[in-house]
Amino acid sequence: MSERSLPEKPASDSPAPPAKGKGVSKGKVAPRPQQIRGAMRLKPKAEKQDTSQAAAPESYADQTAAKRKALGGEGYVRFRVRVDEDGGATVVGSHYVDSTLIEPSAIHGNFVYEVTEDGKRLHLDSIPDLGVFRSFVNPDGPPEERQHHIYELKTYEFDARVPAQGLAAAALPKVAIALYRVKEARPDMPVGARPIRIQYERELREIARVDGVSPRVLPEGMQRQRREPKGSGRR
Amino acid sequence: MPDSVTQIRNAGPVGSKRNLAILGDGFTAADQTTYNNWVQSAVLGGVLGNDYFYEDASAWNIFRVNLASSDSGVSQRTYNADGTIASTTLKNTALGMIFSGSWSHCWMEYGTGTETAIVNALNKWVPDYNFVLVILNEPGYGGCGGNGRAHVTTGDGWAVIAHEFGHGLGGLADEYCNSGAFTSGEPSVVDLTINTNRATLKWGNFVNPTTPIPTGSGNCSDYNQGTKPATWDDNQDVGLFEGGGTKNTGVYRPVINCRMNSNTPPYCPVCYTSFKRQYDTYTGHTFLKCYAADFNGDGRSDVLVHSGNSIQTFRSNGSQLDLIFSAVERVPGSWQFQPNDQFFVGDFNGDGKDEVAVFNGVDWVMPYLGLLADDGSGGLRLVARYDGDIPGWGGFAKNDLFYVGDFNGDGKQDLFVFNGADWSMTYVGMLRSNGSSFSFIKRFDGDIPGWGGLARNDKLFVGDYSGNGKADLFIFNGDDWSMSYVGMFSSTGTTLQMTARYDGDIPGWGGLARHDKLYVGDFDGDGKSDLYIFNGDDWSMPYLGMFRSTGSGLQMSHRYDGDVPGWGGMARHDQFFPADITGDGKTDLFAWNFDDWVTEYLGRMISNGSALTASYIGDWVGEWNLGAGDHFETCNFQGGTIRPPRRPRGKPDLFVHNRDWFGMIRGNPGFALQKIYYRWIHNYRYGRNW
Repeated sequence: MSERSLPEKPASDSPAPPAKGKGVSKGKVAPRPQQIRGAMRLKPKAEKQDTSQAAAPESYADQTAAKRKALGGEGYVRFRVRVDEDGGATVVGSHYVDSTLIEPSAIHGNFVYEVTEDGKRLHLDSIPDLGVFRSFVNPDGPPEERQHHIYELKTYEFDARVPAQGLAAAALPKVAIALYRVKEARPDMPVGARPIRIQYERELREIARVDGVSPRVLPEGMQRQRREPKGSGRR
Repeated sequence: MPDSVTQIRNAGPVGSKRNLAILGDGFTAADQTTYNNWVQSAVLGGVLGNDYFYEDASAWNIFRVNLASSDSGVSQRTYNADGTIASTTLKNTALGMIFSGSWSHCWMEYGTGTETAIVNALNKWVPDYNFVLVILNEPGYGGCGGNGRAHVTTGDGWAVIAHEFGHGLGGLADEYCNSGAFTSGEPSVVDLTINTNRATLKWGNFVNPTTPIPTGSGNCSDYNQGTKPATWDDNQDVGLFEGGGTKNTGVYRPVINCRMNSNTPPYCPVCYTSFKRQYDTYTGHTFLKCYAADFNGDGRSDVLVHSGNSIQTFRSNGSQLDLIFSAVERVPGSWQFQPNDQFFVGDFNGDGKDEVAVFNGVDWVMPYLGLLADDGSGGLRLVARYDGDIPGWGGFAKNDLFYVGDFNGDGKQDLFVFNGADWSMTYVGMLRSNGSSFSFIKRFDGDIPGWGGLARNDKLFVGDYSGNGKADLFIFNGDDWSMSYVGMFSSTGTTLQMTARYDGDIPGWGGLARHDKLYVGDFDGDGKSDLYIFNGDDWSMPYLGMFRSTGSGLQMSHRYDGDVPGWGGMARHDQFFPADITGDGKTDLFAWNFDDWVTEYLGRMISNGSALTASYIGDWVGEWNLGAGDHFETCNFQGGTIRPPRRPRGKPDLFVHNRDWFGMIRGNPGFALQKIYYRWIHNYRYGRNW
């Protein structure tokens, strides 16, 4: 029970103790309005309104968004990576996306990529479906067509995303994009601090890798930043 | 018509969601309405309007790109039996796709410029994409999917596209059989296996121990190992059935018939759960904000879950909850959901079903008040909205506080509104519902006659203490004056009149104090709302008082000093939730304390009309591990007794929820956990997702 020094209530049949609080007691009428930050803010006079409201519209206009502060340090780069027949991989394009990128906490699906700088993760994400095309089943066709026709793609592309801030601070020659096939999926594959090739050595198989990212494949704005003299913010 | 993009679902920033880009080919400017309608019906209404994708709508942004082709329809190609091209008829279309109708050529193929056209369109019109759906203006059946894209025709039904999404977005395998035997090792996909060992079966947690393993053996088997139970559901009961991945034998699928088998059934539990786990991060769903409401008027409490810019409603059948409605960003009408929306549940139109008043004072350029009502198909739509003000109130403000009560006794719940923070004086308003809108009735500027001045920290409590069917107000102030006050204000239907004011004390209480907490409930069942008052802070021991309403004042029925018999000692942070737990028409109390003892306690304090008897449970309610983050909503998810008109229905149950967990707790005759859900509300026939 409480160790504070507090009084005990008087018995139910005893009168209450006198008020001990500071300030005024209520009177019969309200006190005067108080200024808020030096200004009197009062509602306009209330007037009886016509309560027979017109029928509501089928749909109201969009609510008006408040101005929000620009969020600094956000945005990410989407690299387009081409995987060749021999497993070689190259970055063939990039786009800057003005949005915060969230990283999944677990691996799902049949493929996963990880972007690292010198072994330290910048981002990863799962890819459910890669490297094949499937023709839809032909429900009215001969038996052999009542399944997908699978086409293995000799070359294919996928998108790898990485937070712009992390990329801007990274030594590009040390940035790697690795694509893994999930050989042995488990229902729960949480992502830890270590690179996934180490954490899931048994479950993953690397199938393509980009070692080093050329400044030339960065989005134009980031290329410009890189050409400028190195500032103190660069590590 | 220039090309354009329309974000037809804005679930959130692209980097925190998954993004579906839809492109059309072979649609001229004049065909764009056809294209839009097809997207609406087949994609939004079909694929994304059913089972998993409907439930997790908040994970998915959808961008519809309108590309005007010069020609209507797409290029056509025919093949000879030997696979050589027989003929090609080219059309000038935005993406240059060629339809062949040939299964062995993926039904369609890219023209020379198609890949570039797709990439250019995506880069130009869509901020980001995780999956691309290309729709051909072609009435013939066919489709080609893979590698992050699906290409379909307007001749395809939505179910076949949903199957393809199972591959493209779920990474799921086919579960149908076609021919031959599977001879490879364990598939990496979640929905196929060669493992017949129950103990290590990858979906074994969904298999009832009474179900034989394998469940179906032999060529693309049904249930053939023993007698198939009469209640067996071919889509939702999980076992181990031979045949899948297009092979007849040597590999097993989890259910007899999933969407990955024959397109039209919903995803089976294994596939559904795989989707849920894969995209749960992107939904933004939590159970932090839950509201009990009876949306269909069956006497059972349903639940509304609000997460960020989405809501879901789940209907109780008495023992479990099932998804009824899922909306992201807005509901028709329109109300756009935001994280700081406040919801107020009540039967605002007197139809026996609950509606939802919603207020947002901070996320928009001005405060908004809306009324959401039944959309006729189990969902909600906006029926009235007030932008910045309701005429007469003088402007909504950030700190407006709303309270639900039928102050004119017409069977339709109304709203009281209070603001003690944003203006130079404190205001109380009365907003009457006519069933489809609110109208301003009365405003009290700085005072309700007799109260001696509304003050910043006045706290309002709604209850019909006069027993006339009109919701009245109790007001408590423990902060702004030299003593604490309780006022009783009866509603005439159009105004409030002070019935009584207690200055510093209610006889028998021994002194109102700053941290008195008021709880309204008719604890003697006489039709008049009474008051429980608790104080755990201001005295050397906690006190709980029961004050009976006479209609014109309060009379103390009982005061508990330090304990309510059976509770084991009241403590400073005891919390109470008034509810008619036993269904006898008397308001009891659920009691909760997570702070003062070595473990958490949940209690029942049952009123006999003038006194309480308590019991409690500690630490666990069944599998529910009581914790500091738990929140409770009194409710009646079991349904049953409906009290006479104007008498509150019993609320013997509790919804309990925290960030990741949601539970249904029965409170009568004792506490028992009915159901527990983790991360999402779904009723597996057997097993669970954790």
